[in-house]
Amino acid sequence: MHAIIYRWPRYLISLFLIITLNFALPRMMPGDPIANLIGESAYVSEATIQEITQSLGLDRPLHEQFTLYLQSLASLDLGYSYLLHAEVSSIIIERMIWTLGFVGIATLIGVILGVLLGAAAGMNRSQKSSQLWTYGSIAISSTPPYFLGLIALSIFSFHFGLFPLKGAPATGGILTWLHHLALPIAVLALFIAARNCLIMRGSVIQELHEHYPLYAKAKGLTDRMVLRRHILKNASLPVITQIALDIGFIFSGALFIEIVFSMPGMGMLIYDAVLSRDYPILEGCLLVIAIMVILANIAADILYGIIDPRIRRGE
Amino acid sequence: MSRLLDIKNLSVSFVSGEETVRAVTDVSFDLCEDEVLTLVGETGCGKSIIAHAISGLLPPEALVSGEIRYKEKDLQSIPEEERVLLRGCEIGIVLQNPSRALNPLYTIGHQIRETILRHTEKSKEESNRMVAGALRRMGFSDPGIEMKRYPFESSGGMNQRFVIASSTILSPDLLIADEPTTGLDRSRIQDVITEFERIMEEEEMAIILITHDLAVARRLADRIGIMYAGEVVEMGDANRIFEEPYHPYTKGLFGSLPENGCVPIPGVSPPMSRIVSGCRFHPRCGKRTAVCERDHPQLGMIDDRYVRCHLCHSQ
Amino acid sequence: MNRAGLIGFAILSIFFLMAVAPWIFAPYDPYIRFTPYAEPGTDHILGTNDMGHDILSELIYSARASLFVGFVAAILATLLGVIIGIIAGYYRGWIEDLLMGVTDIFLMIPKIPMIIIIAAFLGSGIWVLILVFGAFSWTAIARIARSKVLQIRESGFVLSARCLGFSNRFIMAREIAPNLTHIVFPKFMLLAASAMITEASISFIGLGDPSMKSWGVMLSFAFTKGGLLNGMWWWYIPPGIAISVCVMAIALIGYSREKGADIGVRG
Repeated sequence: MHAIIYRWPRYLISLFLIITLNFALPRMMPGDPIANLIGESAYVSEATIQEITQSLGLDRPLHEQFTLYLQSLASLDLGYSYLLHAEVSSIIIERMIWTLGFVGIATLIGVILGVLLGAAAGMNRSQKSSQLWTYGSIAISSTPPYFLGLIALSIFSFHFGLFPLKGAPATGGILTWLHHLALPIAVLALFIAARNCLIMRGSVIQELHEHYPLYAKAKGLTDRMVLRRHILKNASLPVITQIALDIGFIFSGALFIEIVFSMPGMGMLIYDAVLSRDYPILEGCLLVIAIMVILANIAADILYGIIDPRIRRGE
Repeated sequence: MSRLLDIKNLSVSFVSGEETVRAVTDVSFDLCEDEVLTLVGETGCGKSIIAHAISGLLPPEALVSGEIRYKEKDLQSIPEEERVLLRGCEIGIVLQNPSRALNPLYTIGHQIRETILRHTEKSKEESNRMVAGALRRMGFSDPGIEMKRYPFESSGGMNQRFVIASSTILSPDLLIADEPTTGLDRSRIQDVITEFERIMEEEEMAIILITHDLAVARRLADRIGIMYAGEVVEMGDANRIFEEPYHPYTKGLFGSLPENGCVPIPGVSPPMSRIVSGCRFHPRCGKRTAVCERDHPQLGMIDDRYVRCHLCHSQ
Repeated sequence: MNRAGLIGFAILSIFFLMAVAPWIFAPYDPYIRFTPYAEPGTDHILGTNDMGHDILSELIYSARASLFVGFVAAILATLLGVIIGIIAGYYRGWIEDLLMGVTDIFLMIPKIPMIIIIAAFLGSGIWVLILVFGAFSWTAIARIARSKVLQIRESGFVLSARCLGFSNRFIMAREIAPNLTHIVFPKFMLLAASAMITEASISFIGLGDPSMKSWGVMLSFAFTKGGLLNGMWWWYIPPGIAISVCVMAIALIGYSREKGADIGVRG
C-alpha cells in the first residue's frame, strides 16, 4: 500500500497543474481576456460583460482571481457557455455519459482481445498467425483512429449499407442502439486491441526470459498451463500500468471517432467548441479528461497492488 | 540395486544460423535407485544441458540424439503428454537461482501445492496438509506462516528449500538438481546440503546433482562424473576419485580448491562452437604429448573407473 | 536491422525524397486549379478536390509538413527527455526525486486535449503543435535515459573521467549522452510516429496549419467538404493510407532497434 500512497501527491499536483493552466490560459493568451473567457463568437450585452468581470474578479489581482476560480471549481462550477446557453458542467455531464459508455465498452473488448492475442503472439513468436497479429497491430496502431473510423464507415455503411451513418439514434430500443453503436465501438476496440496486443506480446516475451516458467514446467505443467496460470498474470502487470497511461490517448482516439460517426459525446462537443471557439467548454473538457486519466491511474495502482504482493506488502 | 536410468550416447547441439554449438557429446552413464551421481565441471561444460535433456526442458531448437532410458522407457520416443506427467511426479527437478524459479506473485504454499494438485486427485485442504507436513519435516516449526509467505519475503536459501520441498513432495524416484547452490552464500549452501542429506536418508530417491562446487559434490556424491567441454573425462566412485584423481583435468580441478593451494588450471574452456582436435583438454594440459594433439581419446576403464586420457591408458 | 526494419527504412526514404523534392513525383503544382470534384482518370490519377487541386500532387506535397512536424517535435521531446534523464541519473539525490516527480506529473497530462486547447487559443500553426507536443512528450525518454545513466554512471569510463577532473557538464555531454543512443533511438522513432498521428488528428478538427498542405489537412477538407458523404474515396482514403504507411515505416525502424521485444522474423 505504501507505494500507492507515495504516488498520491503526484496525482494531486498533476490535477493542480491542469487547473492552473486552465486558469492561466485565457488570461495570458493574446487578445481580450473577456473574449478568451467567454468564447470569441459569443455575443453578450455590456451588462453581461460587467457581470462576468464582477463574478470572476477580473478587475482584481491575479491571486484573488485564482482563489475565486478555485472556489467555483470546488462547487463544481466549470463556467457558463454563452454559445450553448447552459452551464458547462451540465453540458459535459450530459455528453460524458455517451463517451464513458462508448469508451468503457470498447476498452473492455479491446483489452481482452489485445491481451489474448498478444499473449498468443508472444508465446509462439515464429508462428505465421503470431506474426500476422503483430504486424496487423503495428499497422492499426500506426493509423489515426478516426481514419479507421472513416474506412469502416465508407466500407460498411456506404458500400454495403450494413450500418447507419450516424452513431446515435434519436429514438428506438436497445437493438437500434446496438446497431448504431456497433461500428464505432468495433473501431475503437480494434484500436485499443492493437496497442494492447503489442504491449502484452513484449511483456510475455520478457516473462519467458524469467526462470519461473521453466520451473513451472518442471513441476509437470503443460505449456498451456504455464501460460494460463503463470505467465498471463505476471505479464499483465506492465499492461495494467500501460493501459492507465494510455487512457488519455484512448480517450482522444474516442473523441475523434465520435466526430466521424457524429455521436453526441464529448468528441462532438469539443469539435463544435473548436469550430466556434467556445473556450469555457474546451477548458471544462480538458479538466474532465485530465481527471479521468488520473482516476484511471489510481485504479491501475490499486489493481496492481491487488495482483502484486510486492507492492501490497511493501518491499 | 536395479537400474533406474540409462543414458547412452547422449549428444545435444544447438544450431543458430551458420554456427552449431555442440553442448554435449556422446555422454553415457547409468544410475541405480537410491544412488547419488554428481556431475561437476566448469561453467559451460554441458552438465546443465544433460540435466535439462533428461528432464525434457530443453528449448525446442535443441537437437538431441542418443537414448535416455528411464524405467525401460525411452524418454525421447514416448509421447509428450506422458513425459509432461513424469515431471514433478516421478522426476523431481530443482533449478538454480531459486528466487527466480518461484513465481513472485504466488505464495510459497500455493506453489508447492501446485505440484500436488497437478498430479493427484487430492483436495486443496489435503494438499495443504501435505505441504505443511513436508515443511515441518524440513524443520519449519510453523509451516502455516511459511506457506503464506511470498518468494520476495524469503532469502535465496529458504526459497531453495521451498523449491526442493515442491520438487520432492510426491516422493519422486529421480531427483535432478541443477546447480542448487549456485548464487547462495556459504551458510545458505549449508542449509541446502543439509536438506539433501535429509532426503537421502529419509527417502528412496536417486539423485543427479549438477554442480561446479566440489565441496558440495564431495559431501553428497556416491559417484562422480567430471565433465570437460561437453564430454565426461572421468567417472567413478566419488571417494576414490577425490582420493586419487587420474585425469589431468580432474587433478587440475582439485588443485584449484582452496585447501589444495588454489592453483588454477591455465587457460580457459574452449568455445563449444569450435571443438579442438585430439584431446579436448590438450591445449591446457601440462603433460600433453603428440598423440594428445592428434587423436581424440576414448573413455576407457582403468582400475575402478572410466577415464578419457591417452596418458592414463598408456601407463 | 531486421527485414521489417529495412523495409521501413526503404519506405521512409521514399517519403523523405517526396518531402525534399516533391516536384520529381508530382504531376502538377498542387495549387493549380482544375475542374473541381473530378473523378480519377487519365489526367488526374486520384481526381481533384473541391478547389480543383490535383489530389495526387497534393498528397505528394503534403509529405513535407507531416514529416517535418513528426521529426521536429520528436527531436524536441527527445532532447528534453535526454537532458532531464541524464541530469536526474547523474546527480541523483533530491534533483533526481524532483525531476522524476515532474516526469510522473507530466505523464498524467492528456496530450491531445492539451494541444487542442492551446491551438484553439493561439490559433493553428505547426509550431504550436510542435512546441506543445515536445513539451508534453519527453517523459518516456526521460525515464529510460535516467535508468540507463544509473547503470553507466559507475562504469569505468565515467569514473575515470571524473578522476581526471572533467567537468560534470563535459562528462554528461561527451561520456554519457553518446551511450544512450541505442536505447533512445527506438523511442525517438516511436515519438516521431506518434507526433505525425497527432498532427493528422489535430488538423482533422480544423486546427491544422491552413497555409501548409498536410495529410491531416487533406483528410479534414475531404471530411468537411463532402468527400465522405459523396463517396469520393479517392479523396479521403489516399491521405489516410499515406499517414498509416509512413507512420508504420517509422515504427518498424523503431521496433527493429528495440532490444528484447523484437518483432517478427530476423532477416
